[in-house]
Amino acid sequence: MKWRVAGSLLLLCAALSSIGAQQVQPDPLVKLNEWRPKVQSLIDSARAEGLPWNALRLKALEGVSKKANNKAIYEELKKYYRRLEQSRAALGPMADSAEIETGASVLAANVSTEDLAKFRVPGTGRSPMRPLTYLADLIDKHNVPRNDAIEAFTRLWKDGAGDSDFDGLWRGVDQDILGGVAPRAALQSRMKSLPVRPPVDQEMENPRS
Amino acid sequence: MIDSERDPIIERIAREARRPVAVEPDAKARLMAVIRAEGAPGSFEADTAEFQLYQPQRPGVTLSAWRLGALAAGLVGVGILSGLAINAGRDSRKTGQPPGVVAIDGSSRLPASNATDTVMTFVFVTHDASKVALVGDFNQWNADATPMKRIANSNAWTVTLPLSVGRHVYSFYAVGADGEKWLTDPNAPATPDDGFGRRNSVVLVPSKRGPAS
Repeated sequence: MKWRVAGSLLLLCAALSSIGAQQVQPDPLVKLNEWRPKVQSLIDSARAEGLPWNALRLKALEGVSKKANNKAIYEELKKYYRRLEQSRAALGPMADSAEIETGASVLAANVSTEDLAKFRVPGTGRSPMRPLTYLADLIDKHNVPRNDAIEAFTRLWKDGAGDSDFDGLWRGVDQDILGGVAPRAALQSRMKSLPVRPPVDQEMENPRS
Repeated sequence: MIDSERDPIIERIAREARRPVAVEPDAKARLMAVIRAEGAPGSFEADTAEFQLYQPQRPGVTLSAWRLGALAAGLVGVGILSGLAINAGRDSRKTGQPPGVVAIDGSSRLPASNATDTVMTFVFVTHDASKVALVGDFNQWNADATPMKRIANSNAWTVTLPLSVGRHVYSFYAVGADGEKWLTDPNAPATPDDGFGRRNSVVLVPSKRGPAS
């Protein structure tokens, strides 16, 4: 009997300690004070709509960590929410959370939803996450003219370029710009060096699991 | 209490605990000789040796209720650490299997990885920082979660951690004489304005099966 009591106590202690440990870290969003309910409401709405709600939560945490003004965090979350909605509409129902977030980032670089829709996620095909990440970088950080960048990346995407092609293109343009080449010239030059390939069936390359 | 009344799991623990510990007859004498030869304990190793020397050595151990209580206390500690690990990785964005980071002590961190993670090393060079941390969605933007270590005799700071497949947004947090800074990785693509007046960097972790998804 003594063994059973001791064993039960042991299991009880383990269970209680695990529950207690999960309450050790307070939610950092507490720092949002009176703005927290509004932020939480946005996150809940995103969850209800099937949007990547955790992206909103992480954006709020980022704002808290960077000591942004609480109202500014809420305002940014509202904008981000809108971009996530637009991104999902543009990329289509097959886009996953990471792709929707990447699309929202491209929209933040002032790419239109019409242009973003050119990278619509095919049913069982490739992911536009990599080209969209590089596209946002080249436009926003490297000052590559928006239309040139969109045209180049759209063409590559339609021609079935793979992730390694986009990797190489971005690294090449990045190096050239750092070396003093004008952004547009750097993009044009690197585009010419890419191998010409016949258009492929997008559904066949990089099939989704 | 008869055997059939005992819980089989506790019985298994008790059986293991009762197993005699094999100790050479002259082990104590040899250890004492080593410690005396080294003089007063001044290093961690000497302290450890002395501690081990005076541990009671018994040919067999009987698992009493008190011992079980101590074991329970140990499990409390394990439970707390497990809870911390769970909290560190809660609300993962993509896979639900985040790269949790568990604090072991004040200066080192143990990454809790899983089968789908890819181990990534980040290096950042800065001339005037006294502290640098890697901060991003993978650690819930917690500036204390993933400190970087300075490489000896250099201005390079580094950290290695497991990341799940997909896209991660991050920044370097540096504290120096002129205050704190959030800096992008010069070797990675950047996001547009983060909404708070700065840019972040992006790392695309490829799938182990092929190109990044």
